[in-house]
Amino acid sequence: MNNGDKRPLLSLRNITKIYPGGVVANKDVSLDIYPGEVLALLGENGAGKTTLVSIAAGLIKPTEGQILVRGEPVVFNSPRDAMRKGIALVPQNPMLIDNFTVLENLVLVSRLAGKRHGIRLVRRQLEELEKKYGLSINPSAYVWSLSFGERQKVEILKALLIDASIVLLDEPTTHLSPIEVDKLLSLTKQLANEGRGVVFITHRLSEALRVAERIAVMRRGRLVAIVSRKDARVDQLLSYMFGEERIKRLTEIVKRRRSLPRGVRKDIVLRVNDLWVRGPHGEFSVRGASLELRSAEVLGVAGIAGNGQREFFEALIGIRKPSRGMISICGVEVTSQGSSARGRLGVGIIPEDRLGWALVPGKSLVFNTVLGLYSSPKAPIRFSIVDWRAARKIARDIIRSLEVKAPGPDTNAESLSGGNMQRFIVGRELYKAPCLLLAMNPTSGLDVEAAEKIRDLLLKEAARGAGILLISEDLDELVEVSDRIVVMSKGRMVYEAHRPFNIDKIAEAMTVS
Amino acid sequence: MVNIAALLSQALPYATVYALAAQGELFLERAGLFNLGLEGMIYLSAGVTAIISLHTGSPIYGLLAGIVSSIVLALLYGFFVITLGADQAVTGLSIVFLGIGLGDVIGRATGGAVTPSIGILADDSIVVSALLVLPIVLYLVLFRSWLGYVVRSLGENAATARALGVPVTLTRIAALIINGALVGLAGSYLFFTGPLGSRWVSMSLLGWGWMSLGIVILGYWHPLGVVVASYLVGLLYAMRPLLETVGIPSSIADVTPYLVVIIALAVISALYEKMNIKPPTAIWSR
Repeated sequence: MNNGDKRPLLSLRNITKIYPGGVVANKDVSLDIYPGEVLALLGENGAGKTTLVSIAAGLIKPTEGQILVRGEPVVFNSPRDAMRKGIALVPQNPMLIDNFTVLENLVLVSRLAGKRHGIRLVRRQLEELEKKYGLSINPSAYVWSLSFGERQKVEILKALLIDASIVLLDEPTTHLSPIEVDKLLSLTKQLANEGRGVVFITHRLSEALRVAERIAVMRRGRLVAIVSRKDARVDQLLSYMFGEERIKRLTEIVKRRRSLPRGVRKDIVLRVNDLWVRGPHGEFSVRGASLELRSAEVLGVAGIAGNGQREFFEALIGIRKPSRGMISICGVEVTSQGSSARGRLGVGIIPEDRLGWALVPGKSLVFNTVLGLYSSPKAPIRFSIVDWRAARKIARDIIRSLEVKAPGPDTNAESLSGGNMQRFIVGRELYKAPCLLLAMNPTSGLDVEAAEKIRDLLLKEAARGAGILLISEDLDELVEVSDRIVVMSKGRMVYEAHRPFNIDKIAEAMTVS
Repeated sequence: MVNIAALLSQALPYATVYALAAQGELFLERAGLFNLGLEGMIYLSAGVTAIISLHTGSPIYGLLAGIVSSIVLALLYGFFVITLGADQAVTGLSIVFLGIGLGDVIGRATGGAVTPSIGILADDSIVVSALLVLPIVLYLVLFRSWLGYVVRSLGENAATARALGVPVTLTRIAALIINGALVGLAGSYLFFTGPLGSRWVSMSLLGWGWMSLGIVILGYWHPLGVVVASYLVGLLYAMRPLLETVGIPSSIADVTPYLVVIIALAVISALYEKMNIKPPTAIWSR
């Protein structure tokens, strides 16, 4: 497209954002968005993409820099101001009021955006949008009852309802199935064809190439390049994203991993039989799930977020009581027992929530070591008294052997970066020499290198002889490390795949049924 | 034979105090704040009403002054909780003690003199209609208008609401003013029509705020539920003398309303859930 004769809808000028604590999220970023174009904002996790669109949407204020809408300088004190200038953000995790219906959420937003729309008018507009864009949704459904994809639909409807001329989509495909992704990409193009300016944030190169006319690449808070699609070369975009050095390192990591030895599969370490678990709203989230996992095996659980994986994981680690069915770990039935029963059996647990579930923020690594090992037979506890010297030694060993970047065992757990935090957590769980390791989205939110290191650790542990259950939303990750993949959909295991994996089949099972 | 009509009419003043205070608290809790200080606000408002009515000779001025004093306490609560980020429970309890202490000093200054009263407050038909109209208005505002969506979004998830562009502080200050006004009105009304009738007697007006907090829960944070709960508890209060006539000791009769509320709370929450009436998430996250 020729942008020469058009004025930008939105211009970001020299945007710098420094968070309290000194983290530089954006450094001198300047970017123009033109009407009728899709601009992909490409970069790995932590590159500063979300910060940039949050500034454009009025969610946070830039430390320095200027925003212009249609050439006119603006200052956003609230998302309200941005909405009134026609800027809508579709956030990565939908920001909706769960206990409101779809309609109530939409009315609220339309009012805040300064539209004088009554409830009846919004309902009628909703029907029109449904016809025009094929975004069908029950307006009187409560948001908590909606799937992730449906919630995102509501977010997009919000943008359309306030007739935003600039739509910012933040990693919109994260939790979508391949089929839903296709739909979203064509909707994105439709929005641009209507003359809107669309920013499509992604860390997936393939998506950027499919949807955008121009691709802006960010790395470590800086905008490193803007290329048009017809000039784009994959290797060049990758080096913009990661830098030459890191690409070399990553290639080596993956090469080394391929040559790792595999352990010998023997006993069944986890058996789940016809498990039924209720979700937070009393409905069944897990509906008769069954699986078996042997030692030295990596079993991946694939599925679109919100299909019962969370409740399944919570039941496995013993913090959510199943209504029916059986869980047995290393030959011992633990169905209705708590997490300490798992600890005594030497089960390693890597929850999704690093700070809060796995680590206590504000407490030292030593403290967190003791807490994590508390019920394990290997805990540094003698006659109910904590042996702090032994605990400190364990923490120090974990820091050293897993190359955790931390000043020492007395460091506040909260002060570590995501990757270092996760390495410490994995190290602590491996210290238990677990027969079974339960992990949920262990690499979410980590940069590529940190994620690769975590995957390496999991595979090494499987080679040692632990059975590993890996619940992940990242299908690429599952395919990379799993020996076997089961697909979870609507609370059931609907499909099982063996190496070599047929990704299309897995993706189909995730969405159909 | 029990005179049902008389009993229903006796329950009315009690129910009105509860309803006013509980509706005020309900509105605030729907906006995501939890003011434990009702007890103090009611007491202060009654004391201020007493002295202003006495000194100006106008019960209307007394009523207005009572409302203003309660609003001031509510805003003080807001200053600590919103501006200074203080703990809601601690601040609320401080408001209780502050209100009772201050109200007592002010009330005592009347020397127990009988003040003029407001005639219409004793008119049953007017009180009944107020009792019915207020919850309907609140229901329409909270659940059927976009303004109510703005308020309730704060009680559901303030962080999300802020990200949506809801003016959090402004909305909460407005909710605090409504809270203070309704609770203050309850205190004034209690002074004029309460057990002693337009005459200040120290420590005779206690317990009303605490019970109102319970009534918010009993009515499950719904204006119509709250008015029904208020009347039921009012009725239990009015029935105390009756219980004594059938041989129940007065000390037990006095605690009956509280006991019934506790038991009813346990039973009724399941019922409300079935009717899809939900408490604000921020208050009661499961």
